[in-house]
Amino acid sequence: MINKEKDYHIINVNPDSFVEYFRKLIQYRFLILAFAKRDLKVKYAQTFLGVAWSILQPLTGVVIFTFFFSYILGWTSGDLPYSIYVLSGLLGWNFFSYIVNAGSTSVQESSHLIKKIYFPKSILPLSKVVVASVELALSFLLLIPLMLYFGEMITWRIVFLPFVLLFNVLCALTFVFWLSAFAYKKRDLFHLMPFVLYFGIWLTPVFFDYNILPEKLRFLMDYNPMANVVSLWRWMLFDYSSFQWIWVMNFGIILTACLLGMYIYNRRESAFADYV
Amino acid sequence: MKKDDAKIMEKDIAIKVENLTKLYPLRSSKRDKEGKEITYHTALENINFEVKKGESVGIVGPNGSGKSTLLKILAGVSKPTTGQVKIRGKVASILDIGAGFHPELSGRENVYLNGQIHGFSRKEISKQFDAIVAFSGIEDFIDEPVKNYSNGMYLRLAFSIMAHLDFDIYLFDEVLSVGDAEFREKITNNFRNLKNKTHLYVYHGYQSVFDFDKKIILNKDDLNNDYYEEVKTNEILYVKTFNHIEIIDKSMEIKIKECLNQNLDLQLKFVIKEVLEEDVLLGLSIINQDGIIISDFHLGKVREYIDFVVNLSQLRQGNYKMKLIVYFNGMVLYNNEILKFKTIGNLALNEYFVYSNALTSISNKLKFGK
Repeated sequence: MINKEKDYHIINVNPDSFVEYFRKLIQYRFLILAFAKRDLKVKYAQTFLGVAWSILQPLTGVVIFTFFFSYILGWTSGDLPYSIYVLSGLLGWNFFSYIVNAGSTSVQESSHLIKKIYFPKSILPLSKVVVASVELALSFLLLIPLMLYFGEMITWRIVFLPFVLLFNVLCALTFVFWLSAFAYKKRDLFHLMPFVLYFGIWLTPVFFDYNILPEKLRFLMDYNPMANVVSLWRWMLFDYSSFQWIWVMNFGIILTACLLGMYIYNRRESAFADYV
Repeated sequence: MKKDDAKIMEKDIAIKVENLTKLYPLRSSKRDKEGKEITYHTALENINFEVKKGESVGIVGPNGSGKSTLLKILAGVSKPTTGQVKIRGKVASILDIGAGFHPELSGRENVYLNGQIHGFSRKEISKQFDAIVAFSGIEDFIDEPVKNYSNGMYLRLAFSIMAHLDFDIYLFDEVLSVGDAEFREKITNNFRNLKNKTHLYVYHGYQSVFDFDKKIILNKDDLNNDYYEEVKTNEILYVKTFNHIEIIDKSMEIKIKECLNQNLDLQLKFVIKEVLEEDVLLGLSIINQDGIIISDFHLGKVREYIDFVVNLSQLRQGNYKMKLIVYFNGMVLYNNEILKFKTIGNLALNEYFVYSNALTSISNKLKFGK
């Protein structure tokens, strides 16, 4: 911390205060974009199709899922065409899963850097949020033509987009911060992560409408924040199903959990360099 | 905030290290000599020192003495276990060449990325961009991916970035031991010309290119248990003359713990008490631990006295002997070891013993040879 009166900073065992933590994040904000830019450039380096790969991936998903779940199994999705239903579900879920995956491995991935140069470690998962956002935006390039084709109109509720995005990001970051803060010494939790993502998608109405669930299991969808987020996406885009106040409550819980996770992460991040 | 933090650090101090200790937990505990269980490895223990603004400081010590750990703590990468460091100014940690370079990105992109990782904005980097590229001398390849660079190009670019951004304190971890001599000299001069900048260098015993204002020795295995020691240049002058032979006789052996100038000058003063008719010829050899003569000096004719300076900076770490050969009147009067010394790295003459008998016999013989 650089104090005007003292104009020097002190390195000791104490972690930065939470205020100082945010001040440093703001000071290093451009690094979030720099890392994101690096990741994107590297991702598409030496490819012929470039960003088209990021559209092809959800496109294949939509084709396969529509074929199996809608055509073969006959799952319905209210008055929304199934391909749009599944794509809008994948938007939120893929956004979440990308941040969780890339974010929780980001410290390991940059171990060579954090052992040599100081910067706030939260920059790493936050930069993954930016990368995920670009992927998300590319998915829209697929959704919009599909909506035009099926004659679906975007509703006025699109004004809630920032809120939905924030909820989506917070869900993922909560996961990343808690995981990173507790798994840097013993890495078992990192091995747990694929399971959570693997099973989580089936506890979230990505592929199915939650009306197909038995009545007594539907509460699961209320208590799963990611189910809330996916429902919110559809509510916002197509006015699909009705708004539920439990979403707002869960948002509050997730926000608190995320801030708490950040706080613990901040207290422990200085030890990361000794363990990665 | 602790109470002593409130004390304002003197304006000319760049780094102040206070009671610094760093412990690393061991994966499996060990037992010490008394059978007590140790679960921590002590990398640094109770280190104290100050570095003034603009000073260049060398950190030396044997392997495992905590040099790199110290630099990591100063860089803010690793936190101390106890104690604290006060640092004034922006710190450049050059603990690895091109840390933060991404092989897939172009030189241009890496300049920006590297600068930003060190906490500079794009705008600040843009201002220096042309100078960085010009200094590195790789204008033609700046838009090529770094993975296609040669080692030399990579190095030039990495150094150029660090030299042109506005840091106050530079931390180098043995990075100057790589690269070609020409560019190394260019870097050396460049960093020297940076006014009011503080430099810290860790050395593991290679040929050094810098003269230091101060040296910090980390040596926990030292015989006298001096874990830490700080010596200022020129506090101990490494001059022992032959006419001080009486003093040497009394003490029998002289231990000098540290020699501060990396261009180690061994100065010997040879005084012939009585005027001789014929010239005395002197020769000096340095012999390494394998018995091989690695250096031969012909000191030439001596009438009354001679001052000579032996530069030992080329020596690698090890034990050495110095042999003096005296010719007089066409005869070898003397041909014996006069010094035995050990160097830490190439820098320090750790200790040496003067063979007092040998010296007495020289002077005796010369006297007789009148």
